[in-house]
Amino acid sequence: MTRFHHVFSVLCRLCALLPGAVLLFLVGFLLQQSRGRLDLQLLFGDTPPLDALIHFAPVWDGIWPACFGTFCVVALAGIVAVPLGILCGIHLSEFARGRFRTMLSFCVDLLAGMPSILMGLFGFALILFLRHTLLPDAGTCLLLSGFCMGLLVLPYMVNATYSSLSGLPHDIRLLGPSLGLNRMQTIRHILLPSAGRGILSGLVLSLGRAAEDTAVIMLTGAVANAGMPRSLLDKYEALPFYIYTTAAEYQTPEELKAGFGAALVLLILTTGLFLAAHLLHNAMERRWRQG
Amino acid sequence: MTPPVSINNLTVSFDGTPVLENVTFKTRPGELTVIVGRSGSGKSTLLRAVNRLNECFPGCSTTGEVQLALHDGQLDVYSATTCPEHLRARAGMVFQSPNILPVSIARNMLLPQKLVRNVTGRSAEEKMRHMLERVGLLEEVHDRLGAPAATLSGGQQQRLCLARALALEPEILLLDEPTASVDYRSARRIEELLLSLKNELPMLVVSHSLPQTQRLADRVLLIRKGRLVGEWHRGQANAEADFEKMLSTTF
Ligand SMILES: Nc1ncnc2c1ncn2[C@@H]1O[C@H](COP(=O)(O)OP(=O)(O)O)[C@@H](O)[C@H]1O
Ligand SMILES: [Mg+2]
Repeated sequence: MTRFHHVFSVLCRLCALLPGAVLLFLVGFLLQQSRGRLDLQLLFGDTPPLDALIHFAPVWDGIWPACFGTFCVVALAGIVAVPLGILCGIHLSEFARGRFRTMLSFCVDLLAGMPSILMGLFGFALILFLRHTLLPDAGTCLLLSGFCMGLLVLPYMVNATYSSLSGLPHDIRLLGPSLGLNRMQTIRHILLPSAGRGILSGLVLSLGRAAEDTAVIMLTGAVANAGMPRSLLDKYEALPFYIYTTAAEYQTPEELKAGFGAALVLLILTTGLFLAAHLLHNAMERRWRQG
Repeated sequence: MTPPVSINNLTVSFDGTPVLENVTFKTRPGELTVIVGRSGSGKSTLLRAVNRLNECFPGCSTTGEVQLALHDGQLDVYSATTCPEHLRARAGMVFQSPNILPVSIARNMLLPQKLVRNVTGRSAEEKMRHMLERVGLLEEVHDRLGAPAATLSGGQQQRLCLARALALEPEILLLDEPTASVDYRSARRIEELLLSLKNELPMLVVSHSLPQTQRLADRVLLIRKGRLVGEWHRGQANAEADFEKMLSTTF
């Protein structure tokens, strides 16, 4: 028995090290493959960086427009998915009952299991529909991608909110009402803050997915060499799309290097987003705990 | 004198199974009423029926009548015009296991005051200190009010919960085995406080211990399997012998 425990604990420890090892290997691999190409030129090409950042000077041969496009898609997806997802999760956990709840959560699960290419097709079909009806000029664009990406990650936000709220212990649920708080006050001041960590992990999952997915943006407005989008209704570039096309069509080793560099930049971008989400959560939690 | 709490034919069921059946009793002003009974007999459910907290569980249905004598007159708890939040704000409750918010000690006291009574700033702080003093917690925590309440011992947490309930100026207090999970010193401190409060604040206390019941109770209600099967009063003839007889099979 002790022997079994020993083997088991060693196994657990090895598995715990696995994610770190994979990450290290991946970063190391990307660094090695993109060596010599990791500089400001990768981002901005021959355009002076400050001009690109401040004056939106056009950037050729750089992945800055793709970074910006991906950032916009993730931000738009967040704007769609975070409030809707949290509200829907609150409804599922706190208000919906019985058969209705089962049905709703089944729909959310179906949506969560939907391949992203279908979501891309949905966006594409939506544009076709709009063209034939209300908006003859409608075309695929940043806004459409952000919207579809928001729908893609919506179930993650819903499920994270739903499961962390409904997993709260009974005592803490009764506390608000027993003090005389009404339902909204209980949710707003007791339940949501208590479920914050679980909701945050749903947010991190969503941001990562929105930054990485290629199928949705391919069908809804991302193109190679679009440059910086001038508005939400413009075409745009995106990092995963850039990586995808580079990997498929590179002509020189230098181009492939740039593709690996872009992958690293994507990793840095998502890490930055996670960090921002954590900081936001910590600040909110501190405010809640200290008043 | 109107009874502070009067319960008539109360029946509570969860998913169709009755947990309390036809419970009827009245308490008297200035008396401390203690509810006893085996675990699972329905004591907590009875307390929760008084502030309608059972309604927070799906599948619960309640029939019968509960009347509370409040400062501005009689309140029919289950009348259609009674707002549950309003009722619960006036009926303080302390749970069996300390039910703190995972926030600082001070915020545990201040947040409910702000949300329920709309009291903030200096007056809320004063109230907080006064109530912490009253439960004997102030000297233990005055220098770390900003620390997480979870760093307090179980007994301190329970006294914090009591202080939090008192800070909302309840007109009746419901205590569900308030000393079941606390150390001896805190338990005695809580008992003393309850005794000192009983003339100003009607209370229903569920107790898990015979000596405690002996120390606290002016009136004892014995619940068995959801029914009120015994009632004892300090002033009755043969009080001591009857007390022994009634409770010999319970604890
Ligand atoms: N929320 C609930 N849902 C279903 N059954 C419940 C619920 N709360 C209590 N009960 C049942 O009611 C009975 C009495 O419970 P309770 O009032 O907690 O007893 P006590 O406090 O005397 O130990 C138990 O059999 C318990 O299973
Ligand atoms: Mg109980």
